[in-house]
Amino acid sequence: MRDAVSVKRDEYRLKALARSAIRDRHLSPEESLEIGFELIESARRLSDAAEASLVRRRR
Amino acid sequence: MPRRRRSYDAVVRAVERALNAARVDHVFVGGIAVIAFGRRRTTEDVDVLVAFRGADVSGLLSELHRRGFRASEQDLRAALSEGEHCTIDDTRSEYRIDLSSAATASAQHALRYRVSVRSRGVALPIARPEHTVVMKLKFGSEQDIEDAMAIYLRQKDRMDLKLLGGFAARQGVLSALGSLKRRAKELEGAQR
Repeated sequence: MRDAVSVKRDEYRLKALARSAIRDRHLSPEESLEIGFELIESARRLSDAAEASLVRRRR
Repeated sequence: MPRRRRSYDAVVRAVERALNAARVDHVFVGGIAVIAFGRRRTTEDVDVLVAFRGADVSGLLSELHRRGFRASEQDLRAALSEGEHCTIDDTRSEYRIDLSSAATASAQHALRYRVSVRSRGVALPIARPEHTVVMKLKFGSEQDIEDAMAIYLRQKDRMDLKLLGGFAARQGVLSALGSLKRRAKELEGAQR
């Protein structure tokens, strides 16, 4: 049985997802793709930076 | 100097060019369709359904190799004969291509109702929101359901509800679609 905290957390996440989807209704698929591609690259750079930091700490 | 890794969007465009050069009909599905019509999220895969035959395999391999993708003939042939998906590695990035044969009824639906979305000078054929919502409901993981919810909430006034309902019925997810619609209404109401 899922605990009350995780139910609340899921509910909060779904509400945030709905807020964002409704806000983005005016965006074209072209604009969305562009923003999404930038997000993917930002996430990759962040992951690379974290990896580099880990390597430095191990030395 | 090490070669710069290519970005996700560059990988997508390279796949598009390879498939066009090999003259095989195709449609991007999964994460790209979610990003175009639903929500912003990350992904490391490029999911693509390809209508190809045995005779297309060598041309397809050659066009993929030319653009830095490591694909095996055996995997491509297995994708064709056994309906499995074939994972293709990109030698210029850490992204992967998940290529499946468009032989199933659901893949044919994706091909038939795809839309063209331009990205940095290249027209990308992408599965319609109606298709992606139904397939996400069918796959059914937590992330899939959230993807379906985001697409439905964002596109519902533009979607072809007859197409959505008909495809959901054929895929056996009509009841899940009903639940999604009810939940979307509640969430939309809570935003007001």
